[in-house]
Amino acid sequence: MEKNSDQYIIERIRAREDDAFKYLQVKFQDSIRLMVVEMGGTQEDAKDVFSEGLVALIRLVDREDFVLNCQLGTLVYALCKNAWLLQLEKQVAVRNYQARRLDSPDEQDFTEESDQQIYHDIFWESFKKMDKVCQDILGGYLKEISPKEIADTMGYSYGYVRKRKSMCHGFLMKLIEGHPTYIQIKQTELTLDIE
Amino acid sequence: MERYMDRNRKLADYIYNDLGRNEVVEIEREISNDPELSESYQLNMQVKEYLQAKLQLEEMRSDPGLEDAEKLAGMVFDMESHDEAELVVPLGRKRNRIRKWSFAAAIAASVTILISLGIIPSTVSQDKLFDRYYEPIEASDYSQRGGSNEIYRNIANGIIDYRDGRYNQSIDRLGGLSAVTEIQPEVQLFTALSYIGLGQYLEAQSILEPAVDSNNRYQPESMWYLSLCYLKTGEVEKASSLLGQLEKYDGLYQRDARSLRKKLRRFNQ
Repeated sequence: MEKNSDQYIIERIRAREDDAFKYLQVKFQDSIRLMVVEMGGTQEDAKDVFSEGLVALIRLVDREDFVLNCQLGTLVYALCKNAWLLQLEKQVAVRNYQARRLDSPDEQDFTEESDQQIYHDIFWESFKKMDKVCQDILGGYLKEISPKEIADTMGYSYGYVRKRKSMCHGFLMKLIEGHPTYIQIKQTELTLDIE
Repeated sequence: MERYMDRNRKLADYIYNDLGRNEVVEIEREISNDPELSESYQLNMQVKEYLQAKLQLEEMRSDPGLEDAEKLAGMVFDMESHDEAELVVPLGRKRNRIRKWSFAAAIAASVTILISLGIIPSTVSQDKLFDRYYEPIEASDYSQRGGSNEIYRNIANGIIDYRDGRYNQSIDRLGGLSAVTEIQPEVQLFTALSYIGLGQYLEAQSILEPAVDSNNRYQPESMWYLSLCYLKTGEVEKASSLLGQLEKYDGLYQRDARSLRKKLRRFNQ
């Protein structure tokens, strides 16, 4: 069985091997965190949801009738989404959120979280503004596809893909740093620092 | 200039793991010695990590196998819901919550699309701020006051209607009490709050504005919710000015008022 294939990871989860959980964490935790935040949760909620999703995954793979008929990542997503909706249903997240807001000694965290969301919108908007070739090349790199495979799929040379990737990334950063909202936030931060 | 371009190219190669071992050592040394490059590296990494997560999330969301994954997830969560059958939330509100949050998620998705198309850029941020700060008032303290006579029973029931999300009923019930002077502040506040619950911000505004001016016992509450109404209807300066006044009150809304006003400065710039 190929190492790190979905089926391999499932077997390692059944055997309760730490490396399987480490792999899931490295591979999927960031996207699950983003899902929770996009659905109104906080970073702290996201940690709970990811843990609950993994517990649900263990319970699922332990079932005798379990057959993996989809990608492991998509299954983790579906489990975590259910876990988040269930948490909302119990109002735990809402209560925690309220408690945190009332108890938190400092408002800084909340401000930063809110800014973070605005930054994310700017990053995504800028990425979508790039031409398709740039999106495909950077997208390939970001999905950890090898540059050679990207080059073969797109019909370019390896050297061209590598060079174009740097240009596209530079262009993306220019779009972000030149975004009016980004400039406005940076200016506000500067003003508040001075105050 | 050429050196600058070369350094940025190397930074891009570095963050996408496209450098040889010697070059990695070289750029890591440069990053640790140059604060400006270090700051630029942090931002580049932040962008990379976000996009990596976002692309993976989008891939999961559009995976044709998602339906099968959801069926599998349903198996384990069905199991759990049998284990935890009696949960905290009363049924009526529970369903409502799920609907509200699913609806909120759908709205969030639509808003993202609209932003990416360049439509409604500023109102999106105002709506987001409203969503983050708005919470229905905790009404248990008020509803327990009922019982001594018919009027107080009615007002208590009106407040319970509000608390349980029956906003139209609350408005109807409280409407019948508007002539009773001694409970006027409660009637005004909860009627306005019910209108906010229904998304009818202008109606809420028209009740809260005189309530704020009348200096009644719910003035801080009225100021807070009126400022949220202003935020929602795009009257950012009015909201900001009201929050500035609210900051002077020691109490529940002081800190939220200060933090919200800070954010509103962005719209005023």
